Amino acid sequence: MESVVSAKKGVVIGPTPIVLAYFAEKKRGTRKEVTRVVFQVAKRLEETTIHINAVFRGNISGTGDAIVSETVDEEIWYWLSNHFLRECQDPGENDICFEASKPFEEYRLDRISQNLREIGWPSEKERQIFLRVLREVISLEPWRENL
Amino acid sequence: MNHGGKTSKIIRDVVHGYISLCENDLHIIDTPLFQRLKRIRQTGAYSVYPSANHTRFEHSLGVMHLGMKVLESLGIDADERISNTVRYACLLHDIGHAPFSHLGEAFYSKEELINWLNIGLNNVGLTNTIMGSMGSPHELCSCAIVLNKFADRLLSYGVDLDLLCRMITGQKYNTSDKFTEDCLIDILNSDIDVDKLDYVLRDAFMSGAELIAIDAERLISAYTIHNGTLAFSGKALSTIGNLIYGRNALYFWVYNHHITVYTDFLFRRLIKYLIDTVPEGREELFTYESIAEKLADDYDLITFVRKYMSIDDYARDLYNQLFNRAFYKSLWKTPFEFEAIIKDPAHQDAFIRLVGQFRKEEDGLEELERRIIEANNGLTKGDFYIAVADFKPFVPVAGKAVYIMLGDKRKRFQEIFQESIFQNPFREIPYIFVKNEQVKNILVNRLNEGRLL
Repeated sequence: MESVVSAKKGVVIGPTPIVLAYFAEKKRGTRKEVTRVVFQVAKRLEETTIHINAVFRGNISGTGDAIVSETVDEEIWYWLSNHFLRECQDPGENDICFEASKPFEEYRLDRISQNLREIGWPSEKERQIFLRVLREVISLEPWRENL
Repeated sequence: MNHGGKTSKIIRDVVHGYISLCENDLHIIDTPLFQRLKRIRQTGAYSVYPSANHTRFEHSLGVMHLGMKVLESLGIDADERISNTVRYACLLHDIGHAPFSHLGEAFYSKEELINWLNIGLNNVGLTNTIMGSMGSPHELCSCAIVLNKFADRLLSYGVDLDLLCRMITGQKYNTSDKFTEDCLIDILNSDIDVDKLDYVLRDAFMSGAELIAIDAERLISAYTIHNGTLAFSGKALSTIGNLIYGRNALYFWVYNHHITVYTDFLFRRLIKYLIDTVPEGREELFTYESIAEKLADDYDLITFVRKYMSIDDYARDLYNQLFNRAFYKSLWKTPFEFEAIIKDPAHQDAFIRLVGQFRKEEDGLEELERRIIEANNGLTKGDFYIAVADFKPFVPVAGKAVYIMLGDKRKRFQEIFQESIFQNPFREIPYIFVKNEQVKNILVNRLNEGRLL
Protein backbone atom coordinates (compact mmCIF):
# COMPACT_ATOMS: atom_id res chain seq x y z
CA MET A 1 0.00 0.00 0.00
CA GLU A 2 1.34 3.41 -0.86
CA SER A 3 2.31 5.62 1.99
CA VAL A 4 1.99 9.32 1.46
CA VAL A 5 2.16 10.87 4.92
CA SER A 6 3.86 14.18 4.30
CA ALA A 7 5.56 16.70 6.45
CA LYS A 8 5.32 20.27 5.26
CA LYS A 9 8.93 20.30 4.16
CA GLY A 10 11.77 17.88 3.67
CA VAL A 11 11.58 14.26 2.67
CA VAL A 12 9.58 11.42 4.20
CA ILE A 13 10.98 7.93 3.72
CA GLY A 14 9.81 4.52 4.85
CA PRO A 15 11.76 2.09 7.02
CA THR A 16 12.75 -0.15 4.07
CA PRO A 17 16.35 1.03 3.48
CA ILE A 18 17.08 0.93 7.21
CA VAL A 19 15.73 -2.60 7.68
CA LEU A 20 17.42 -3.95 4.55
CA ALA A 21 20.75 -2.28 5.37
CA TYR A 22 20.55 -3.85 8.83
CA PHE A 23 20.08 -7.36 7.43
CA ALA A 24 22.69 -6.78 4.72
CA GLU A 25 25.24 -5.96 7.41
CA LYS A 26 24.23 -8.14 10.34
CA LYS A 27 22.60 -11.08 8.53
CA ARG A 28 20.29 -11.70 11.48
CA GLY A 29 18.49 -9.72 14.14
CA THR A 30 15.66 -9.87 16.61
CA ARG A 31 12.47 -7.94 16.17
CA LYS A 32 13.55 -5.74 19.06
CA GLU A 33 16.94 -4.99 17.49
CA VAL A 34 15.51 -4.11 14.10
CA THR A 35 12.87 -1.90 15.69
CA ARG A 36 15.49 -0.20 17.86
CA VAL A 37 17.65 0.58 14.81
CA VAL A 38 14.74 2.12 12.89
CA PHE A 39 13.71 4.08 16.00
CA GLN A 40 17.24 5.36 16.61
CA VAL A 41 17.63 6.48 13.00
CA ALA A 42 14.25 8.22 13.16
CA LYS A 43 15.15 9.85 16.47
CA ARG A 44 18.52 11.12 15.23
CA LEU A 45 16.91 12.54 12.11
CA GLU A 46 14.18 14.33 14.08
CA GLU A 47 15.90 17.70 13.95
CA THR A 48 16.68 17.42 10.23
CA THR A 49 14.40 17.72 7.21
CA ILE A 50 14.38 13.93 6.79
CA HIS A 51 11.50 12.09 8.46
CA ILE A 52 11.04 8.35 8.84
CA ASN A 53 7.46 7.35 8.18
CA ALA A 54 6.97 4.91 11.03
CA VAL A 55 4.70 4.60 14.05
CA PHE A 56 6.40 3.77 17.36
CA ARG A 57 4.85 2.75 20.66
CA GLY A 58 6.12 1.87 24.11
CA ASN A 59 8.73 3.79 26.08
CA ILE A 60 10.05 6.52 23.81
CA SER A 61 12.28 8.15 26.39
CA GLY A 62 14.72 5.23 26.69
CA THR A 63 17.22 3.73 24.27
CA GLY A 64 14.57 2.05 22.18
CA ASP A 65 14.63 -1.33 23.95
CA ALA A 66 10.98 -1.04 24.94
CA ILE A 67 9.78 0.30 21.60
CA VAL A 68 7.47 -1.58 19.28
CA SER A 69 6.40 -0.53 15.81
CA GLU A 70 3.71 -1.98 13.59
CA THR A 71 5.42 -0.22 10.67
CA VAL A 72 8.62 -2.18 11.26
CA ASP A 73 6.58 -5.38 11.75
CA GLU A 74 4.87 -4.78 8.38
CA GLU A 75 8.25 -4.25 6.72
CA ILE A 76 9.67 -7.42 8.21
CA TRP A 77 6.52 -9.29 7.23
CA TYR A 78 6.79 -8.29 3.55
CA TRP A 79 10.29 -9.79 3.29
CA LEU A 80 9.51 -12.72 5.60
CA SER A 81 6.37 -13.79 3.72
CA ASN A 82 8.28 -13.65 0.46
CA HIS A 83 11.13 -15.75 1.87
CA PHE A 84 13.84 -13.05 1.78
CA LEU A 85 13.93 -13.40 5.57
CA ARG A 86 13.24 -16.47 7.67
CA GLU A 87 12.78 -17.07 11.36
CA CYS A 88 15.98 -18.17 13.14
CA GLN A 89 16.12 -21.77 14.27
CA ASP A 90 17.60 -20.72 17.61
CA PRO A 91 15.66 -17.58 18.43
CA GLY A 92 16.76 -17.31 22.04
CA GLU A 93 14.62 -16.78 25.07
CA ASN A 94 13.09 -13.39 24.81
CA ASP A 95 12.43 -12.39 21.26
CA ILE A 96 11.55 -13.57 17.80
CA CYS A 97 14.61 -13.59 15.54
CA PHE A 98 14.97 -13.26 11.78
CA GLU A 99 17.83 -13.98 9.41
CA ALA A 100 18.42 -13.08 5.79
CA SER A 101 17.78 -16.03 3.50
CA LYS A 102 18.56 -14.07 0.36
CA PRO A 103 21.27 -11.44 0.07
CA PHE A 104 20.60 -7.72 0.29
CA GLU A 105 24.06 -6.89 -1.01
CA GLU A 106 22.97 -3.65 -2.63
CA TYR A 107 22.06 -2.37 0.84
CA ARG A 108 25.45 -3.06 2.42
CA LEU A 109 26.80 0.12 3.92
CA ASP A 110 29.82 0.20 1.61
CA ARG A 111 27.53 -0.01 -1.42
CA ILE A 112 24.33 1.65 -0.29
CA SER A 113 25.58 5.11 -1.18
CA GLN A 114 25.49 4.08 -4.83
CA ASN A 115 22.17 2.30 -4.52
CA LEU A 116 19.80 4.61 -2.71
CA ARG A 117 18.51 6.08 -5.91
CA GLU A 118 14.87 5.22 -5.59
CA ILE A 119 14.31 7.77 -2.83
CA GLY A 120 13.43 11.19 -4.15
CA TRP A 121 16.08 13.10 -2.22
CA PRO A 122 15.60 16.87 -2.53
CA SER A 123 19.38 17.23 -2.67
CA GLU A 124 22.62 15.29 -2.23
CA LYS A 125 22.93 16.84 1.24
CA GLU A 126 19.85 15.01 2.59
CA ARG A 127 21.06 11.73 1.12
CA GLN A 128 24.44 12.10 2.80
CA ILE A 129 22.89 12.98 6.18
CA PHE A 130 20.68 9.88 6.01
CA LEU A 131 23.61 7.63 5.09
CA ARG A 132 25.78 9.02 7.87
CA VAL A 133 23.09 8.45 10.51
CA LEU A 134 22.32 4.98 9.16
CA ARG A 135 26.00 3.98 9.30
CA GLU A 136 26.40 5.33 12.83
CA VAL A 137 23.33 3.58 14.22
CA ILE A 138 23.99 0.22 12.59
CA SER A 139 27.63 0.24 13.65
CA LEU A 140 26.50 0.69 17.27
CA GLU A 141 24.39 -2.47 17.19
CA PRO A 142 26.02 -5.70 18.43
CA TRP A 143 27.23 -8.17 15.80
CA ARG A 144 24.73 -10.99 15.96
CA GLU A 145 27.16 -13.61 14.68
CA ASN A 146 29.17 -13.23 17.88
CA LEU A 147 26.26 -13.68 20.25
CA MET B 1 -17.04 1.08 39.68
CA ASN B 2 -17.53 4.80 39.50
CA HIS B 3 -17.68 6.16 35.99
CA GLY B 4 -19.38 9.44 36.74
CA GLY B 5 -23.10 9.10 36.41
CA LYS B 6 -25.92 6.61 36.44
CA THR B 7 -27.09 4.92 33.29
CA SER B 8 -29.34 7.19 31.34
CA LYS B 9 -29.55 5.38 28.05
CA ILE B 10 -29.16 1.82 26.86
CA ILE B 11 -28.52 1.24 23.20
CA ARG B 12 -28.56 -1.97 21.23
CA ASP B 13 -25.33 -2.77 19.40
CA VAL B 14 -25.26 -5.39 16.68
CA VAL B 15 -22.05 -6.96 18.02
CA HIS B 16 -22.12 -6.56 21.80
CA GLY B 17 -25.82 -6.34 22.57
CA TYR B 18 -26.82 -3.70 25.09
CA ILE B 19 -24.38 -0.87 25.81
CA SER B 20 -25.08 1.41 28.78
CA LEU B 21 -24.44 5.13 28.51
CA CYS B 22 -24.51 7.68 31.31
CA GLU B 23 -25.30 11.39 31.19
CA ASN B 24 -21.61 12.27 30.99
CA ASP B 25 -21.19 10.03 27.95
CA LEU B 26 -24.06 11.73 26.19
CA HIS B 27 -22.48 15.15 26.71
CA ILE B 28 -19.62 13.87 24.55
CA ILE B 29 -21.48 11.61 22.15
CA ASP B 30 -24.09 14.24 21.33
CA THR B 31 -21.57 16.73 20.03
CA PRO B 32 -21.00 17.53 16.34
CA LEU B 33 -17.42 16.24 16.60
CA PHE B 34 -18.46 12.82 17.85
CA GLN B 35 -21.52 12.60 15.60
CA ARG B 36 -19.13 13.19 12.67
CA LEU B 37 -17.93 9.62 13.22
CA LYS B 38 -21.28 8.39 11.88
CA ARG B 39 -20.03 9.68 8.53
CA ILE B 40 -16.58 8.07 8.65
CA ARG B 41 -16.57 4.54 7.29
CA GLN B 42 -14.67 1.96 9.26
CA THR B 43 -13.18 0.01 6.36
CA GLY B 44 -12.88 -0.14 2.59
CA ALA B 45 -14.14 -3.71 2.53
CA TYR B 46 -17.58 -2.58 1.27
CA SER B 47 -16.27 -2.82 -2.29
CA VAL B 48 -16.18 -6.61 -1.90
CA TYR B 49 -18.62 -7.13 0.98
CA PRO B 50 -21.44 -4.66 0.28
CA SER B 51 -22.91 -4.69 3.77
CA ALA B 52 -19.65 -3.64 5.43
CA ASN B 53 -20.82 -0.04 5.70
CA HIS B 54 -20.34 0.37 9.43
CA THR B 55 -18.70 3.49 10.79
CA ARG B 56 -16.24 4.71 13.40
CA PHE B 57 -19.23 5.77 15.54
CA GLU B 58 -20.43 2.31 16.53
CA HIS B 59 -16.84 1.05 16.69
CA SER B 60 -16.03 3.77 19.25
CA LEU B 61 -19.03 2.81 21.38
CA GLY B 62 -18.00 -0.84 21.14
CA VAL B 63 -14.44 -0.10 22.22
CA MET B 64 -15.70 1.87 25.22
CA HIS B 65 -18.02 -1.00 26.16
CA LEU B 66 -15.21 -3.56 25.94
CA GLY B 67 -12.70 -1.29 27.69
CA MET B 68 -14.95 -0.97 30.73
CA LYS B 69 -15.56 -4.72 30.81
CA VAL B 70 -11.82 -5.39 30.76
CA LEU B 71 -11.26 -2.86 33.53
CA GLU B 72 -13.88 -4.64 35.63
CA SER B 73 -12.32 -7.99 34.87
CA LEU B 74 -8.85 -6.83 35.94
CA GLY B 75 -10.16 -6.13 39.42
CA ILE B 76 -8.23 -2.89 39.75
CA ASP B 77 -9.52 -0.62 42.47
CA ALA B 78 -10.66 1.89 39.91
CA ASP B 79 -11.44 5.31 41.27
CA GLU B 80 -13.11 8.03 39.22
CA ARG B 81 -9.78 9.05 37.65
CA ILE B 82 -8.94 5.57 36.37
CA SER B 83 -12.45 4.55 35.43
CA ASN B 84 -13.28 7.69 33.49
CA THR B 85 -9.86 7.91 31.85
CA VAL B 86 -10.22 4.38 30.46
CA ARG B 87 -13.83 5.05 29.48
CA TYR B 88 -13.17 8.25 27.54
CA ALA B 89 -9.85 7.16 26.03
CA CYS B 90 -11.75 4.25 24.50
CA LEU B 91 -14.70 6.37 23.44
CA LEU B 92 -12.56 9.13 21.87
CA HIS B 93 -9.64 7.10 20.50
CA ASP B 94 -10.80 7.48 16.88
CA ILE B 95 -12.30 10.97 16.99
CA GLY B 96 -9.44 12.27 14.88
CA HIS B 97 -9.94 9.87 12.00
CA ALA B 98 -9.85 11.38 8.53
CA PRO B 99 -12.52 10.95 5.87
CA PHE B 100 -12.48 7.31 4.79
CA SER B 101 -10.40 6.41 7.87
CA HIS B 102 -6.95 5.01 7.10
CA LEU B 103 -7.24 5.84 3.44
CA GLY B 104 -7.59 9.55 4.21
CA GLU B 105 -5.19 9.46 7.13
CA ALA B 106 -2.33 9.07 4.68
CA PHE B 107 -2.83 12.71 3.67
CA TYR B 108 -2.50 14.17 7.15
CA SER B 109 0.66 16.09 7.91
CA LYS B 110 2.16 14.66 11.10
CA GLU B 111 4.07 17.90 11.61
CA GLU B 112 0.85 19.92 11.59
CA LEU B 113 -0.85 17.51 13.98
CA ILE B 114 2.09 17.62 16.38
CA ASN B 115 1.84 21.42 16.41
CA TRP B 116 -1.84 21.21 17.38
CA LEU B 117 -1.08 18.51 19.93
CA ASN B 118 1.54 20.77 21.51
CA ILE B 119 -0.95 23.64 21.62
CA GLY B 120 -3.40 21.36 23.40
CA LEU B 121 -0.75 20.11 25.80
CA ASN B 122 0.24 23.68 26.65
CA ASN B 123 -3.38 24.62 27.26
CA VAL B 124 -3.74 21.96 29.94
CA GLY B 125 -0.25 22.32 31.38
CA LEU B 126 1.11 19.01 30.11
CA THR B 127 4.06 20.35 28.15
CA ASN B 128 6.57 17.69 27.10
CA THR B 129 4.98 14.77 28.91
CA ILE B 130 3.68 13.22 25.69
CA MET B 131 6.01 12.83 22.74
CA GLY B 132 4.47 13.92 19.49
CA SER B 133 6.40 11.41 17.40
CA MET B 134 4.49 8.54 18.96
CA GLY B 135 1.35 7.13 17.46
CA SER B 136 -0.20 7.23 14.04
CA PRO B 137 -1.52 10.45 12.50
CA HIS B 138 -5.16 9.84 13.39
CA GLU B 139 -4.19 9.10 16.99
CA LEU B 140 -2.26 12.36 17.21
CA CYS B 141 -5.29 14.12 15.77
CA SER B 142 -7.56 12.38 18.31
CA CYS B 143 -5.35 13.58 21.17
CA ALA B 144 -5.18 17.10 19.75
CA ILE B 145 -8.99 17.21 19.51
CA VAL B 146 -9.41 15.81 23.02
CA LEU B 147 -7.04 18.42 24.46
CA ASN B 148 -8.32 21.36 22.46
CA LYS B 149 -12.04 20.59 22.39
CA PHE B 150 -12.96 18.29 25.29
CA ALA B 151 -10.40 19.08 27.99
CA ASP B 152 -12.60 21.15 30.30
CA ARG B 153 -15.43 18.64 30.25
CA LEU B 154 -13.12 15.65 30.73
CA LEU B 155 -11.28 17.36 33.59
CA SER B 156 -14.63 17.93 35.26
CA TYR B 157 -15.19 14.16 35.03
CA GLY B 158 -11.88 13.58 36.80
CA VAL B 159 -10.11 12.31 33.67
CA ASP B 160 -6.30 12.17 33.64
CA LEU B 161 -5.58 13.76 30.25
CA ASP B 162 -1.94 12.71 30.21
CA LEU B 163 -2.89 9.06 30.70
CA LEU B 164 -5.77 9.33 28.22
CA CYS B 165 -3.45 10.54 25.45
CA ARG B 166 -0.89 7.90 26.33
CA MET B 167 -3.61 5.25 26.05
CA ILE B 168 -4.56 6.52 22.60
CA THR B 169 -0.99 6.72 21.27
CA GLY B 170 0.43 3.73 23.15
CA GLN B 171 3.09 5.66 25.02
CA LYS B 172 4.04 3.99 28.28
CA TYR B 173 5.48 5.59 31.39
CA ASN B 174 7.90 2.74 32.19
CA THR B 175 8.49 3.98 35.71
CA SER B 176 8.16 1.88 38.81
CA ASP B 177 5.26 3.94 40.20
CA LYS B 178 3.17 3.66 37.03
CA PHE B 179 2.61 -0.11 36.65
CA THR B 180 -1.16 0.29 36.86
CA GLU B 181 -1.20 3.08 34.29
CA ASP B 182 0.95 1.03 31.89
CA CYS B 183 -1.52 -1.86 32.20
CA LEU B 184 -4.34 0.53 31.38
CA ILE B 185 -2.43 1.63 28.28
CA ASP B 186 -2.27 -2.04 27.23
CA ILE B 187 -6.06 -2.27 27.39
CA LEU B 188 -6.30 0.07 24.39
CA ASN B 189 -2.90 -0.44 22.82
CA SER B 190 -1.34 -3.89 22.82
CA ASP B 191 -1.41 -7.10 20.79
CA ILE B 192 -4.80 -8.11 22.16
CA ASP B 193 -6.48 -4.83 22.95
CA VAL B 194 -10.12 -3.77 22.93
CA ASP B 195 -9.68 -1.74 19.74
CA LYS B 196 -8.58 -4.84 17.79
CA LEU B 197 -11.13 -7.02 19.51
CA ASP B 198 -13.98 -4.74 18.47
CA TYR B 199 -12.88 -4.23 14.87
CA VAL B 200 -12.22 -7.92 14.33
CA LEU B 201 -15.65 -8.84 15.68
CA ARG B 202 -17.42 -5.95 13.95
CA ASP B 203 -15.74 -6.24 10.54
CA ALA B 204 -16.33 -9.99 10.50
CA PHE B 205 -19.99 -9.58 11.43
CA MET B 206 -20.77 -6.62 9.19
CA SER B 207 -18.97 -8.03 6.17
CA GLY B 208 -20.92 -11.24 6.49
CA ALA B 209 -17.70 -13.18 5.99
CA GLU B 210 -18.29 -15.97 8.45
CA LEU B 211 -14.63 -16.50 9.19
CA ILE B 212 -14.43 -16.49 12.95
CA ALA B 213 -16.15 -17.38 16.15
CA ILE B 214 -14.77 -15.50 19.13
CA ASP B 215 -16.13 -15.74 22.63
CA ALA B 216 -15.43 -12.15 23.64
CA GLU B 217 -16.95 -12.58 27.09
CA ARG B 218 -14.60 -15.43 27.87
CA LEU B 219 -11.61 -13.52 26.58
CA ILE B 220 -12.46 -10.46 28.64
CA SER B 221 -13.04 -12.46 31.77
CA ALA B 222 -9.53 -13.90 31.32
CA TYR B 223 -7.74 -10.54 31.49
CA THR B 224 -5.59 -10.35 34.59
CA ILE B 225 -2.51 -8.63 36.00
CA HIS B 226 0.53 -10.66 36.95
CA ASN B 227 3.61 -8.98 38.46
CA GLY B 228 2.54 -5.60 37.16
CA THR B 229 1.96 -6.87 33.62
CA LEU B 230 -1.20 -7.48 31.65
CA ALA B 231 -1.81 -11.19 31.11
CA PHE B 232 -4.54 -13.72 30.34
CA SER B 233 -5.57 -16.69 32.39
CA GLY B 234 -5.26 -20.06 30.68
CA LYS B 235 -9.02 -20.38 30.24
CA ALA B 236 -8.76 -17.98 27.29
CA LEU B 237 -6.33 -20.13 25.29
CA SER B 238 -8.88 -21.34 22.74
CA THR B 239 -10.39 -17.88 22.34
CA ILE B 240 -6.99 -16.26 21.84
CA GLY B 241 -6.22 -18.86 19.19
CA ASN B 242 -9.50 -18.08 17.45
CA LEU B 243 -8.80 -14.35 17.62
CA ILE B 244 -5.38 -14.73 16.02
CA TYR B 245 -6.62 -17.08 13.30
CA GLY B 246 -9.68 -14.90 12.77
CA ARG B 247 -7.68 -11.72 12.42
CA ASN B 248 -5.37 -13.33 9.88
CA ALA B 249 -8.38 -14.65 7.96
CA LEU B 250 -9.92 -11.18 7.91
CA TYR B 251 -6.72 -9.75 6.49
CA PHE B 252 -6.49 -12.36 3.78
CA TRP B 253 -10.12 -12.68 2.73
CA VAL B 254 -11.53 -9.23 3.51
CA TYR B 255 -8.96 -6.41 3.89
CA ASN B 256 -6.45 -7.84 1.42
CA HIS B 257 -8.88 -9.21 -1.12
CA HIS B 258 -7.42 -8.03 -4.42
CA ILE B 259 -10.49 -5.89 -5.14
CA THR B 260 -10.34 -4.21 -1.72
CA VAL B 261 -6.64 -3.54 -2.27
CA TYR B 262 -7.34 -2.12 -5.71
CA THR B 263 -10.26 0.13 -4.72
CA ASP B 264 -8.23 1.49 -1.79
CA PHE B 265 -5.38 2.07 -4.20
CA LEU B 266 -7.58 3.82 -6.80
CA PHE B 267 -9.16 6.08 -4.20
CA ARG B 268 -5.80 6.96 -2.72
CA ARG B 269 -4.23 7.63 -6.12
CA LEU B 270 -7.21 9.76 -7.18
CA ILE B 271 -7.21 11.81 -3.97
CA LYS B 272 -3.45 12.28 -4.20
CA TYR B 273 -3.70 13.43 -7.80
CA LEU B 274 -6.55 15.84 -7.08
CA ILE B 275 -5.08 17.45 -3.98
CA ASP B 276 -1.74 17.85 -5.77
CA THR B 277 -3.63 19.52 -8.61
CA VAL B 278 -6.09 21.43 -6.40
CA PRO B 279 -4.05 22.19 -3.26
CA GLU B 280 -6.98 23.63 -1.29
CA GLY B 281 -8.33 20.08 -1.21
CA ARG B 282 -5.81 19.14 1.45
CA GLU B 283 -6.77 22.14 3.57
CA GLU B 284 -10.46 21.39 3.23
CA LEU B 285 -10.21 17.72 4.08
CA PHE B 286 -6.99 16.61 5.74
CA THR B 287 -5.90 19.22 8.28
CA TYR B 288 -6.60 19.44 11.99
CA GLU B 289 -8.86 22.44 11.43
CA SER B 290 -10.80 20.73 8.64
CA ILE B 291 -11.62 17.91 11.08
CA ALA B 292 -11.97 19.80 14.37
CA GLU B 293 -13.69 22.92 13.04
CA LYS B 294 -15.30 22.03 9.72
CA LEU B 295 -16.13 18.40 10.58
CA ALA B 296 -14.83 17.05 7.26
CA ASP B 297 -16.28 13.61 6.54
CA ASP B 298 -16.69 10.98 3.84
CA TYR B 299 -19.37 13.02 2.08
CA ASP B 300 -17.09 16.04 1.83
CA LEU B 301 -14.38 13.90 0.29
CA ILE B 302 -16.74 12.38 -2.27
CA THR B 303 -18.08 15.86 -3.11
CA PHE B 304 -14.53 17.10 -3.64
CA VAL B 305 -13.69 14.15 -5.87
CA ARG B 306 -16.85 14.62 -7.94
CA LYS B 307 -16.18 18.32 -8.32
CA TYR B 308 -12.72 17.83 -9.77
CA MET B 309 -12.82 14.38 -11.36
CA SER B 310 -13.15 15.87 -14.86
CA ILE B 311 -10.00 17.88 -14.50
CA ASP B 312 -8.28 15.63 -17.08
CA ASP B 313 -8.41 12.15 -18.60
CA TYR B 314 -6.21 10.60 -15.93
CA ALA B 315 -8.50 11.71 -13.07
CA ARG B 316 -11.59 10.79 -15.08
CA ASP B 317 -10.29 7.29 -15.69
CA LEU B 318 -9.46 6.71 -12.02
CA TYR B 319 -12.90 8.03 -11.05
CA ASN B 320 -14.64 5.86 -13.65
CA GLN B 321 -12.89 2.74 -12.45
CA LEU B 322 -13.64 3.48 -8.82
CA PHE B 323 -17.21 4.75 -8.93
CA ASN B 324 -18.49 2.81 -11.95
CA ARG B 325 -16.69 -0.38 -11.02
CA ALA B 326 -14.85 -0.45 -14.34
CA PHE B 327 -11.78 -2.03 -12.80
CA TYR B 328 -8.63 -3.05 -14.60
CA LYS B 329 -7.89 -6.77 -14.35
CA SER B 330 -5.25 -8.09 -12.03
CA LEU B 331 -2.48 -10.19 -13.61
CA TRP B 332 -2.83 -12.54 -10.65
CA LYS B 333 -5.19 -12.75 -7.69
CA THR B 334 -3.36 -15.19 -5.47
CA PRO B 335 0.25 -16.19 -4.77
CA PHE B 336 -0.45 -19.44 -6.63
CA GLU B 337 -1.42 -17.58 -9.80
CA PHE B 338 1.60 -15.31 -9.36
CA GLU B 339 3.89 -18.34 -9.30
CA ALA B 340 2.17 -19.80 -12.35
CA ILE B 341 2.48 -16.59 -14.40
CA ILE B 342 6.09 -15.72 -13.50
CA LYS B 343 7.61 -19.15 -13.82
CA ASP B 344 11.22 -18.60 -12.83
CA PRO B 345 11.57 -18.13 -9.03
CA ALA B 346 14.52 -15.80 -9.64
CA HIS B 347 12.28 -13.53 -11.72
CA GLN B 348 9.57 -13.72 -9.05
CA ASP B 349 12.16 -12.60 -6.49
CA ALA B 350 13.37 -9.79 -8.75
CA PHE B 351 9.84 -8.40 -8.96
CA ILE B 352 9.20 -8.76 -5.21
CA ARG B 353 12.52 -7.07 -4.47
CA LEU B 354 11.89 -4.24 -6.89
CA VAL B 355 8.42 -3.42 -5.54
CA GLY B 356 9.58 -3.89 -1.94
CA GLN B 357 12.14 -1.13 -2.35
CA PHE B 358 9.62 1.35 -3.71
CA ARG B 359 6.42 0.53 -1.90
CA LYS B 360 6.95 2.46 1.31
CA GLU B 361 8.30 5.62 -0.26
CA GLU B 362 6.18 8.67 -0.83
CA ASP B 363 5.01 8.35 -4.44
CA GLY B 364 7.28 5.30 -4.69
CA LEU B 365 4.99 3.02 -6.68
CA GLU B 366 4.05 5.85 -9.00
CA GLU B 367 7.75 6.39 -9.60
CA LEU B 368 8.24 2.68 -10.26
CA GLU B 369 5.37 2.70 -12.78
CA ARG B 370 6.99 5.71 -14.51
CA ARG B 371 10.33 3.90 -14.77
CA ILE B 372 8.70 0.77 -16.16
CA ILE B 373 6.91 2.86 -18.79
CA GLU B 374 10.19 4.56 -19.72
CA ALA B 375 11.90 1.19 -20.09
CA ASN B 376 9.22 -0.46 -22.20
CA ASN B 377 7.89 0.65 -25.55
CA GLY B 378 4.16 0.39 -25.93
CA LEU B 379 3.28 1.42 -22.36
CA THR B 380 1.89 4.79 -21.34
CA LYS B 381 0.75 6.40 -18.08
CA GLY B 382 -2.45 4.85 -16.81
CA ASP B 383 -1.97 1.55 -18.70
CA PHE B 384 -1.28 -0.33 -15.47
CA TYR B 385 -1.05 0.20 -11.72
CA ILE B 386 0.95 -1.56 -9.02
CA ALA B 387 -0.74 -1.99 -5.64
CA VAL B 388 0.45 -3.77 -2.50
CA ALA B 389 -1.63 -5.02 0.41
CA ASP B 390 -0.64 -4.36 3.99
CA PHE B 391 -0.51 -6.96 6.70
CA LYS B 392 0.11 -6.20 10.33
CA PRO B 393 1.43 -9.51 11.66
CA PHE B 394 0.56 -10.67 15.10
CA VAL B 395 3.98 -11.04 16.66
CA PRO B 396 3.60 -11.44 20.39
CA VAL B 397 6.98 -11.22 22.08
CA ALA B 398 8.44 -10.40 25.41
CA GLY B 399 8.24 -6.72 26.16
CA LYS B 400 4.79 -6.43 24.62
CA ALA B 401 3.25 -7.34 27.96
CA VAL B 402 0.74 -9.95 26.89
CA TYR B 403 1.20 -13.30 28.61
CA ILE B 404 -0.90 -16.33 29.43
CA MET B 405 -1.01 -17.78 32.92
CA LEU B 406 -0.91 -21.57 33.09
CA GLY B 407 -1.19 -22.42 36.74
CA ASP B 408 1.35 -20.16 38.44
CA LYS B 409 3.60 -20.08 35.36
CA ARG B 410 3.59 -17.09 33.05
CA LYS B 411 4.06 -18.17 29.43
CA ARG B 412 4.65 -16.21 26.26
CA PHE B 413 2.30 -16.95 23.38
CA GLN B 414 4.94 -18.55 21.18
CA GLU B 415 5.81 -20.96 23.97
CA ILE B 416 2.26 -22.30 23.77
CA PHE B 417 1.13 -21.99 20.18
CA GLN B 418 2.78 -23.25 17.03
CA GLU B 419 4.77 -20.55 15.24
CA SER B 420 2.47 -20.77 12.25
CA ILE B 421 -0.43 -19.42 14.25
CA PHE B 422 1.25 -16.01 14.25
CA GLN B 423 1.63 -15.81 10.53
CA ASN B 424 -0.56 -15.13 7.59
CA PRO B 425 -0.08 -18.36 5.65
CA PHE B 426 -0.03 -16.55 2.31
CA ARG B 427 2.66 -14.48 0.67
CA GLU B 428 2.18 -10.73 0.44
CA ILE B 429 2.35 -10.49 -3.35
CA PRO B 430 2.18 -7.08 -5.05
CA TYR B 431 -0.59 -6.86 -7.65
CA ILE B 432 -0.38 -5.41 -11.16
CA PHE B 433 -3.71 -4.23 -12.60
CA VAL B 434 -3.75 -3.81 -16.39
CA LYS B 435 -5.95 -1.90 -18.81
CA ASN B 436 -6.14 -4.47 -21.60
CA GLU B 437 -4.69 -7.66 -23.10
CA GLN B 438 -1.94 -5.81 -24.95
CA VAL B 439 -0.59 -4.27 -21.74
CA LYS B 440 -0.92 -7.63 -20.02
CA ASN B 441 1.16 -9.35 -22.71
CA ILE B 442 3.92 -6.76 -22.59
CA LEU B 443 4.21 -6.95 -18.79
CA VAL B 444 3.96 -10.73 -18.52
CA ASN B 445 6.68 -11.11 -21.16
CA ARG B 446 8.96 -8.63 -19.39
CA LEU B 447 8.36 -10.25 -16.00
CA ASN B 448 9.27 -13.65 -17.39
CA GLU B 449 12.39 -12.24 -19.01
CA GLY B 450 13.34 -10.68 -15.65
CA ARG B 451 13.76 -7.23 -17.17
CA LEU B 452 10.89 -5.02 -16.14
CA LEU B 453 13.31 -2.09 -15.99
